[in-house]
Amino acid sequence: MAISVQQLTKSYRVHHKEAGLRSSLRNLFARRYELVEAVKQVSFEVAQGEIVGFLGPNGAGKTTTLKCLAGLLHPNAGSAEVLGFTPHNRERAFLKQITLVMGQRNQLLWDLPAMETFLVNQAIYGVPEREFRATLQELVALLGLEPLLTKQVRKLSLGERMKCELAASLLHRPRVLFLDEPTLGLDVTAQAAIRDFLRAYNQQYAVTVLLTSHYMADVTALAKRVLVIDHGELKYDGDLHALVEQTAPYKLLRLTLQQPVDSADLTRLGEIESLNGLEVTLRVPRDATKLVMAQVLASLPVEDVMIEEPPIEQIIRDVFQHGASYA
Amino acid sequence: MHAYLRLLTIFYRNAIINELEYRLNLWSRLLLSLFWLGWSAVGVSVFYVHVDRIAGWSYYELLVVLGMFVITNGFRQLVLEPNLSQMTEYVRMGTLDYILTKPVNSQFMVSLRNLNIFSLNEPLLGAGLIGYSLWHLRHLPSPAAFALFGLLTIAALLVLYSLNLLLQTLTFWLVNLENADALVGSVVEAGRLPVAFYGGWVRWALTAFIPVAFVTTFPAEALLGRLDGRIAVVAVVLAALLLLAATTFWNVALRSYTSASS
Repeated sequence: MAISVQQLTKSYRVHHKEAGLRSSLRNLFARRYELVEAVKQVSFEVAQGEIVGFLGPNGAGKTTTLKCLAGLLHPNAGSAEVLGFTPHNRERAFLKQITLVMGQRNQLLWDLPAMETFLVNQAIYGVPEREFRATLQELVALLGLEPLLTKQVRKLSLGERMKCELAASLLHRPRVLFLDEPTLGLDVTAQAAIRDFLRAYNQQYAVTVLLTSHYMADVTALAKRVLVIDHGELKYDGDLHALVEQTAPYKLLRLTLQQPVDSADLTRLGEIESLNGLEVTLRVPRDATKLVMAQVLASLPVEDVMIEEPPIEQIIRDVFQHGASYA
Repeated sequence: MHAYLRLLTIFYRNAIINELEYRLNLWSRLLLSLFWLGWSAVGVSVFYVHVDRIAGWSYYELLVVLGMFVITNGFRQLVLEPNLSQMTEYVRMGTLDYILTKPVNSQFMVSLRNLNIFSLNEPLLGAGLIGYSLWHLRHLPSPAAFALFGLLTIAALLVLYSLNLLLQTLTFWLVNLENADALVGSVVEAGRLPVAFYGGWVRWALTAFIPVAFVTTFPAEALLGRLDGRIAVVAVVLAALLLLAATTFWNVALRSYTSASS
């Protein structure tokens, strides 16, 4: 196992701050502290070469878990093991095999071309010259960095910068990648480019990837397996498709009609999700999809029909709202 | 060790490339340093209009202390300011997370990663002022005095560095500690004059409590050949102890560090 987490618990002591001058003054002398449990007894394992997506709302504990695994935080209880190391001991042999990329953070030298940062990282990780050149060449090709290498970092666009960040983080050929919101703030094209790169890189080198993202598309495109975390608790660990089937035992039928029909005719076939002139979306039970489809074709004046999975955003929202455990 | 030297070479090569972007900076800095140096030298000369010696220090002897001040202040601008003084920024921006996930000693990274290369003129000017003053005094220090001066200067820089690290490490708990800089700055400022210039308890405090005397007065006295050898031993021991304390504190702080975003 590349990563093994047992009953991991991490809590923060944060001071309690009320609004107003008076309480601010009181805070000056006697602060009231509160213990916030960011991660509660989370356990999971990840095999070498797997891509696992972390899903959860803001403050769910995704980043905290990632930081525990990257050795930045000491867990309060439980244990974590990455590549056979205890992360928070931050041994060199461990740090040389992992990498951490944070979407909102910058490690590139701002006023210099990205190449200078690459050289710094080469020295930091002690990468031999030949290996460095070879790796760099591959990354440049995969990410299309050629025209960016000589531009000052501050003159790059956000997407270009992220590509350079990724390259800088991979020059030492880490075996485990911790990616915290790697596509944050990027436009759709840049997001897709980063995604394609990560998929190709994972397939080529069988690196283990732990990924958090707000963009569901990142997770659905990259990870077969997801960990759903909410309020610090692991709510689901498993196949993304299985999660969809469990949580949403229905599919969506999108119909384009030739002429308006009575809504009663539609309700007979399935639950109306939306009705917009001639565009209708019906919710039908997963196992009755084929049957309903036949009925629709037989009884309604349809121009076009499509069967769709419900959007993953909605499913995740359902998981959080109902709070049920699917693990 | 070799790897760290290689890192420093790369770091400082970058620092030079970086700062050469702003050529104007170089000249304006040099002019500014010269101006301040002249201003301070003239400033203290006012004390000597009617007397030859103050608290046992002649004007040119005093300029040796001033030169020592310029050297240590230059060191502060050259090394401390672009590194340790950024700690608040590192914690707030989460840059520290990147530093801590690198397979390199983190204290080394936060202490020596950057160099304010244009401040290099300050220590050089300070050395120049010391040379000029010694020439005026017709005093050529013995090789032993030079060696002792070198040793005490290293001790002085280590004392300053350690004090700075101790203060900046507090950032882990207080997050915003940009004033730590001003505090170390004023310790250095107080070293413009020999501690003998300060009366009674202030002198005592500047020697024992805040080690200002160790930063400028004692190295200057070593050069002038009038330093008690025992003080040199104390200076070295003090520097070693402070460095040990600061390093230990840094490691303890790292353990309790819980980064900027939760």
